[in-house]
Amino acid sequence: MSIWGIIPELPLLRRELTELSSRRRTYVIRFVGAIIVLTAVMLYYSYHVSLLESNRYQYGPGVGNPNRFFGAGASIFKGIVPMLFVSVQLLMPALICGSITIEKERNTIGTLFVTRLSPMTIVLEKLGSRLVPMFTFLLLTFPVLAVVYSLGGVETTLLLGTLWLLFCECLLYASIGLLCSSWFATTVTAFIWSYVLTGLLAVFSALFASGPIALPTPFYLWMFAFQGFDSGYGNNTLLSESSSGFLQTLAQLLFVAAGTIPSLIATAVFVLLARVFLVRRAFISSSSVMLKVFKAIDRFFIRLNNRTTGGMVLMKDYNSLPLFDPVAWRERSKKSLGKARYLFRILVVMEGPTLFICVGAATLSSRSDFSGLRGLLLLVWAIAAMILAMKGATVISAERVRETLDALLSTPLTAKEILTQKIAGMQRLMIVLAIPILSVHLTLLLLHVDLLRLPSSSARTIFGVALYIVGCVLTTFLTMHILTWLAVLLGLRSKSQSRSAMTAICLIAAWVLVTSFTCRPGGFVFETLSMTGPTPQTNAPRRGPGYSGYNGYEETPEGQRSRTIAAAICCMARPDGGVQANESILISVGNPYIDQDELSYAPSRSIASAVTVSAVVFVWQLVMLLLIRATTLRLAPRLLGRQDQGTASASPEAKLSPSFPVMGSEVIA
Amino acid sequence: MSSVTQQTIPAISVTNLSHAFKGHQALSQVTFCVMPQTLHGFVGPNGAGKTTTLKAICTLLKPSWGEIQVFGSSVRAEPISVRRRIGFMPDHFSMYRQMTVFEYLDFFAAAYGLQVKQRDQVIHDVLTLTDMDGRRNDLISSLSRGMQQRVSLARVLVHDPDLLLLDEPASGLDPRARIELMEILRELRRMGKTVFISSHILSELAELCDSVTIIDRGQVKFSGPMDVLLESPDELPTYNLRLVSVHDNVIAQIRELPGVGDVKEPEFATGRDFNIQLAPSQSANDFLKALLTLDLPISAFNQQRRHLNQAFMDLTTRGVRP
Repeated sequence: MSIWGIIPELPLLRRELTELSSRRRTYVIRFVGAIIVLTAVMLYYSYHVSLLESNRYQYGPGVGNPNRFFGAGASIFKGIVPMLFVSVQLLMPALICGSITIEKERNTIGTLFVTRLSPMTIVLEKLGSRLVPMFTFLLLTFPVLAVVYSLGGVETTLLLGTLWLLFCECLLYASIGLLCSSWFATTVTAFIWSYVLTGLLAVFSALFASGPIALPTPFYLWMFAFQGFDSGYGNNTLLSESSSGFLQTLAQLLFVAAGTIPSLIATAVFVLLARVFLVRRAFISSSSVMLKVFKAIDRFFIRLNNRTTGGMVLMKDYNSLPLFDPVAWRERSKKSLGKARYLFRILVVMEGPTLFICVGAATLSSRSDFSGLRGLLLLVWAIAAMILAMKGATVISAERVRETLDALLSTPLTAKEILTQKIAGMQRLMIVLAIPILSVHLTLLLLHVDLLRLPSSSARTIFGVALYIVGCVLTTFLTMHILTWLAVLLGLRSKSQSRSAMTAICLIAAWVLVTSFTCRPGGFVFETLSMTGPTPQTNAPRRGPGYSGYNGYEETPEGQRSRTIAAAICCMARPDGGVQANESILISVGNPYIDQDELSYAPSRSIASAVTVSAVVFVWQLVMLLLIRATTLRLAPRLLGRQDQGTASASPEAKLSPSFPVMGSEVIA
Repeated sequence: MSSVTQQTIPAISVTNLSHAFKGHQALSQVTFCVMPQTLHGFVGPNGAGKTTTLKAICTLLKPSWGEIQVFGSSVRAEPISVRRRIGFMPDHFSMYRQMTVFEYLDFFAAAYGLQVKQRDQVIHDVLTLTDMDGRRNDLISSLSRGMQQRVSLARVLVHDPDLLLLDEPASGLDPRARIELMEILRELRRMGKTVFISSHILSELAELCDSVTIIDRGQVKFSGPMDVLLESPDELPTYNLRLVSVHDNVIAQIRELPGVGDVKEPEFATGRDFNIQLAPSQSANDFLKALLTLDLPISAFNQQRRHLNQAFMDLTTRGVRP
């Protein structure tokens, strides 16, 4: 018997890998992913090397001697590895969420069930087929890790423990994505819930990392074992002592392995659940999960009302019919994210915790530290952007997937009318999403400015506050419209909801990440643009009434101008540039005790500069919105595959295709 | 425009229509014409270009080359006005499942720009025509496939179009639903609508349609009246004879009659059926007179016509399109 006979055939795994390898998208994603991961790793590597270099320059001997890096591998390694864990958390859900849902969407899951493959085999082979691409991603970073390892200082325990924990991390998050894929009917829903669960697990394991009910995910086990939570690199770690002997190394590795038992058990449970739901929920309807939940809540409240009041209804549901905008009517009255009653529930779910945190921040935090509120603002914006991107990207692809688009397109409604009505149907959703965002802005305003004393304040303050309020409202809706129209444009051509939603979400996330990294204050673009001007003023107060400059720099008119220009350009590049620019206005009129690091893009406390930046960014965003909207509406008929405007001449000669050169003369004749 | 003029303008006029998808030529110089108030069948093998042609007619596809006119309006130059005159039912009648039947029809009535006060009556009329008035408040998701298909047909009729473009309307329906659909289509023709129907069910098309277009590999193989297609112009006229009982030399007796070319027993026959081929000069009337002189116990006598299946097989190419 040949040795190959022992190896199971794994037909599903083979098919999945063959399919993956035949798609151009696989290589594009792998290439882009590799570029992102390697760039991040290389940037960190170069940053750390430069840090080491400067430290040696100041404190140690051997300037110019390459031997000065010997032994520095451990600290660089410990800096790079968390990026790999985060990469797993970011990529694994996207890779695996469609593994089973795609079979449901293609109606091929029944075919799998009638083969000799057992449900567990299907689940395991699906798991394997998505782990392989993840491992190839991680393998791409190994050359860099090898260079780091060659610098010395990386213990065997650290290296092997990291590899094992990375493997466990992949398994854990893959099993969560697999469970979602097995439970939900569509890839889009599985995608969203995979990230929600991954995010919750990451947040809770971070929150309870040092508490009594710690969630020992492999990443936090790695941090606990090799990094240490409470102090800097190398300090206070569980396995900081070097492992000198084989037995000691083995003991430490066994300790790490034992630590992963809970996560492995969790993985096994998720995989078992995925196997159970694979069969039970194989042929579920793809109708909206949220709509089902809302309808279940409706039924509960109706039953409760019948029991308590005997079915008394104060305000009956107004059962409307479309008047002149049928598409907008359908979006408003037939969608889970369109009905006023359902949107109110979403508002309560979002606004409740937001207000709770805002009130907590207002009463407990100091008057100069707003990082918590800014984090909250980032979170509510992230949720809003994700919902809008998903909704915008799927307005057409959902019709296409459900095969209702042709009927709609054969009506006299133009593509422009269809799209504008679709967006009009999303206005209520935008208002609901804007309320938590504006609540955070209001809290920030209340913390910066004493509104009770506002009437007696200077005209400058009153003007600044008014401008901040107006600016916040306008930029919030402007940014939401930009994101929505961009998502609509990206989703116009797509034939699958998951692809359109993922494309929109990934593109917007990439825009946010790249510009946040390069255009932030202190970032490459901002610093390059604002290089001229300021001179250091080391004795200047860092905060309070005596503070006059930016980040400890005395402001010269040239410096202020260059910083204003830099701030305007950077804010224009960022999707959240309007929000950042408004913050500058608030800082210019608000709390003088604010930490200078909190100033963000504020060129100074000069309201003129802040207003200039804000106005420029507002005009730019308005232009950008109009451009994106116009482009979308112009391309819509073509991307939807129809024509809305008659051509000037009915003569076909203008439409002569290069592939039919002979026909032209015949018909013209 | 007078009604006489309207009658002379074709409901659909397709001239040299060609279209290619990424180098694959789906349609090549397709030309045919559909007269108003007729039921026109559009048949062809899978991948022949039927749906592409239909989509081009109903403005959902911009053809690479060629001209299409609907009631004299160019699809390319006046797409909006063309859309107002057509009702298109795609081969998949997926619908908004969370709406009731009435909401669904009201949605499309609004999309076609019908006035609010008109809509109630129009929806009532189309639901009565399709026998769905009793289900107007039912959710579409709760309807059977046959009922959904009726609602889809009602949707197509909601703006009272002159031309109905139906892509495989009977696919997936049970025999009863299929027969009922054909009845509705006949009723629509009686109401003066032009129906352009793409289908694979040739036997039903042969009974239903006034004219037919056969397309294969993107090219029109035949377009014209159904009668012309079902005649066999290249062959001698053939008649079927069925007798109540036969005796040994009946074939020899028939062969001796004037103008008879050949007499054959058809395959799988019971022994009482004969196919009689006449000379081109021989009329059926004279032959029948001569036949009666033989005093045979005749049960039936009729002209043999090609079945649409046979015509379809003769005109289309075997095998899969490359």
